[in-house]
Parts: sequence; C-alpha cells; structure tokens
Amino acid sequence: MTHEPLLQVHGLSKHYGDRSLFGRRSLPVRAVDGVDLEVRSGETFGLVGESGCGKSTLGRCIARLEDPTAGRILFEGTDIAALPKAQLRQLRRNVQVVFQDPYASLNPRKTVGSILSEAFRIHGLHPRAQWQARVGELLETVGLQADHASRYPHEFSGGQRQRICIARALSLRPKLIIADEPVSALDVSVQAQVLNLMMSLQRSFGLSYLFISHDLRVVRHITQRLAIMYLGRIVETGETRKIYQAPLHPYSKSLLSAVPQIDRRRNDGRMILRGELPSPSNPPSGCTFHPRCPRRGPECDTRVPVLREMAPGRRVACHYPLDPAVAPPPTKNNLEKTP
Amino acid sequence: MNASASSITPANRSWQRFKANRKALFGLGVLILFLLAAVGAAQLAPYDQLAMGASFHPPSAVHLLGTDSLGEDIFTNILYGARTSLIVGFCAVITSTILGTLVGATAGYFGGAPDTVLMRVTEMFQILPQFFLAIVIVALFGSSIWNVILVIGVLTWPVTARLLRAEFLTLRNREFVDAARSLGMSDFDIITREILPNALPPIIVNCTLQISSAILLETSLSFLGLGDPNVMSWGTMLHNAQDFFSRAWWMAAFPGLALFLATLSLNLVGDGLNDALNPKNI
Repeated sequence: MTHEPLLQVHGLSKHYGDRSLFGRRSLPVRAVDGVDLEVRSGETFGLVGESGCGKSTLGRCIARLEDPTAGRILFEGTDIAALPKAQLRQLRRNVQVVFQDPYASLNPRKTVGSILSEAFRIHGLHPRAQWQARVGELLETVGLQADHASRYPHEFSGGQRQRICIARALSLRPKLIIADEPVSALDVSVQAQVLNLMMSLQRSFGLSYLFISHDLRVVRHITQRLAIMYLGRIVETGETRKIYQAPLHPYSKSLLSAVPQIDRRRNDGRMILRGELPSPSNPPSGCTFHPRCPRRGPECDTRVPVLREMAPGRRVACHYPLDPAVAPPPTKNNLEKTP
Repeated sequence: MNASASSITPANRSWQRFKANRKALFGLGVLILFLLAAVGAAQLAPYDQLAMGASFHPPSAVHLLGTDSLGEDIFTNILYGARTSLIVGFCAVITSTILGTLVGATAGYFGGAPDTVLMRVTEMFQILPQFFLAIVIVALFGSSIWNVILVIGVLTWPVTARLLRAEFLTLRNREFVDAARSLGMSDFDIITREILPNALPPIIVNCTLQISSAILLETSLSFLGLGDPNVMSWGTMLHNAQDFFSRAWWMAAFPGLALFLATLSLNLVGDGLNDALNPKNI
C-alpha cells in the first residue's frame, strides 16, 4: 500500500439556500462547513456521522454531483472543485460512486447489459463489438453471471443489484470509489458478502474507497483511517484502530459507545447523548457540539475549536479532548466517567 | 418461469396487465375497427365518396345507414369521417406531445430560471379559452385540416408539459440519474436515455385521452361549420343533420354513435394503459 495522497480536500463547504427570490437572504443551510480530509491511494477511508451531518453531501461534492460553495478538492494534485461541468470527463473516469439504495440506482427500463455498457458508450472505450464480452467480464468480476446482462434490474435481489452498481462503478476502472452507505439497505448476511467483494476488488484493482457510513461496526471492519463528522464539520480524524481504542472527541466517544457490545464489561463506560442534532441552518455558537457535550467548558459556546494535531495523523476539534495529557475543564458539567 | 435467456421486459409485464382488463381490451378492439375503417375507407365504402342517390333513404340493405339530404351514403361518409377524425386526433396529439415534451423536459430537468420562464409561458397558454381561440384562428387562417391540427396541437400542449415537468422533477434526483451523471453522461442523454423512458407512462396515457378530446374539438369546429370543407367529418355530418332531425334521424344518430364509440374506446384504452403502466395506482 502506498501513502501518497490520492485525494485532498481543503476547506470544503457546501451551503444551500444562500439566495432567495426577491433578494431576501434566508439563513443558509451549512451542510458541509470547511472540511479537510485526505484519502491515500489504496486505502479505505471512512466518513462517519449521524444522519444529516453532511457526510453524503461531502461525498457528492467530491464526485462533483454537487457544486461545492467553497474550498479545494485536489485529485492527484489537480483542483477539481472549480472545474466547469464540461471538463469533468477525466474526473468521471477516476472517481465513481456507489449509492445507498440499490433499488433506486438502476434504471428500471434498461437491461443490465445496457446499464453496464453505458460508460463505454459515453467515453468511447471499447469497440462496440467487444461491449458484450466486457459486460460479461464485469458481471463475473462482481460474482454474477455473464448471461445476466440480458435481464432487467427488477429480476435481481438487493445484494445482486448492489453488485451490479459496483460493476457499473468499475466499468471505467476508477482509482477512487465513493461508497455512500453501500450496504445500509441490505440484509446483514448480504452486507458481509458485498463488503468482502469490495475488499477483494480493492486488492485486485488497487482501488481507494471513501466509505461513507453510519454503521460503526462496518466501518471498523473495512476502513484503515476515518473521519467523524458532526453538523458539517470533522470533529476527529485518524487511524481507525486508534480512534476505536481511545476516542479523543466526546462526540466520537458517545458514537462508539452506542455500538452494542457483546462483552458486557465494556458497556460500563457508555456515554449517552442528550438532545437532538441541531439544525445546520442555525448551528449553536462556538463548538457546535457544546449543547450536547458532557465535557463542555467555559469557552465551548464562544470559541470554535479547530482541528489540531494530537499525535501524528491524529487530529481532533475539541477544547477539552479526552486525553489524559489534557486536564478536564473546571466545570460541574463534567459527567464523564473516568475509565 | 423460464429463467434462461428470455427475460420479462417492463413492456411485457404491462401488456400482461393490460390484457387482464376487459374494458380496455374492448376499447382496443373498437379502436382497431376505427383504424381499419380509416385506413381502408376507400376499399370498404360501398359507394363512391361523392356518389349521390335518393335523398333521405332510411337505413336498409341498399344503404346500410341510410342517405342524407344530398343522397350521399351515410356509412360511406362515416368511414371517411373516421379517417379525418383519426388523422386530426393523432396528428394534433403528436404536435402537442412534441411541444409539451420539449417544454416539460427542459423545465423539469434544468429547473431554476428556465423552469420559471417556461412555466409562465405554459400558464399563458393554459388560460386561453381554447375553443374560442380555435374558432378565431380557423376563421382567420382558413379551415384546412392542417390548420385545425395545428390549432389543436398548439392549444393542448400545456397539459403534457406540466405532466412531464412533474415527472422530471421527481426523477431527476433519483439515484440512477446521479449514477448516469457520475459516469459522465451528457444532459441530453440523461434526459432522453435515463429520465424520459421512465416518464413516458403518464404521457402515453395522457396522449390517448388527448386524442379523444382532439377528435371532439375537431367535430365541434365542423359542427359549427368551421371544418375543412374538402374532407368529410362526423362534425360536418352532424351539422348537416340539424335541419332534418325529425325527418331523418339516421343522419344524426349514426355519426353521433361513431363519435361516441371512438371517444369511449380511446378513454377505455387510456384507463387501461394507466392501470397497466402505473400498477401502483390500482
């Protein structure tokens, strides 16, 4: 595995509803607010957060299905954030998306063969006479049969459909696949099969994944590094193993402790969050997590914490991270049980 | 079910559902009879279109549906009238569907300013009193059948445009459209290859119903004496029958019956298509 950055995202923002009719300015929804991240080639990078935290919007911006409001997206060093739509062809060949709902992501009026050969047609990849053979190869790569090409999507199960979606993403031989909750809509038994397929494809094609999910067990299984998002911002990022061992951000800790554990003793340190996810159009002042944070200190509602490096490759956006080296804040709100 | 090469296409499944609907099959049968009558009018008609015999001959073996005030055979005229009605119906609906599809697809797919502008234009056409505008245009520019077609086509496209726009608004955010976009498909291809095939069912149903209203509109114009004088129309026949209603009921009854059956069959087929193409509506 190499470690050159394949994708670098700097200060990416996506705000919705900035302008309204008649010039009245409504409060913009800050779906993504100044996100930095880096995906290295050959790795699986996880993007984790609650529903509505902006993780899907971030993925869609990187795939340029949405136009980012601000920020830079460097793919192999080229800024693709501001490229006009017409110049996105090269990006399309390098970055592909697998969506959450395999039932909605295949055109019901087209055969699997025509869905999978669409990329060849658009990019003029192979002579038309070879398309059928190429489609057959793609189907076999994802564990289906070549003669499935003549069937329609409704003839397949959810897991099979997601395999077809993966085959479609592979048809352009991309370097990066943005997988937006690719297994959340599937049965647990099928989830494992699809994840194993994705991991074996990663090995054979040297793929990188940006794996967007809210399922922490899946993320732990498949990713090497991850970023945890809260209300459009990244609150913690680092190696998956280390974050799971010792989360630094109180939000990460509460997310991880929400995962059911079979070993009962490890449930002791559970941290249950109060309240709801605030509205991204009117986020709380200072650290957006402060109204729900058990460790909040005096400056949390005024000063926005920036991502700072705590250890090599380990960054956290918190004034009082869960680190023995940093003293807990002087406050009565300290509900955190010390492990 | 045969699991090998042969595959159930979406069209195939729709046909299975359509077949199960008796009313729709009846409608389709009647419609096919009218189509045959229209295509083969010259071969099927017992008399020449302009041949004149005894006036006001009641229905009999000689004149199946009787003759009119000029001694023309009513059955012959109904066959030729079917040709006019169906030509007007189909051509007007083709015109309005092309216009409506262009406007609706553009507005629905691109949204924003194009949508606002196109929908305001559509509304302007929708608020026009259709029938009176048709009368005015036919009176001004002459009542050739092609003018009638053009008038009906230009007056009825807003319905198609609105329907298609609504379909596009829901379909353009579906994940398979995003997938096509991320493959690098052009907007034109996304509209024609991905969205339009999925937006077609309500348009097809709407077309069927619009054909029958186009036929009715053409008949109404001819009934008022504004039809093309060079072609036979059921409306013209009804117009001629007005003065002789008590003397020769068959002059009005049979063209009226033909009109009734034609519109009824189109509506039955439309309802059947609606159920067959959008099974969730059942």
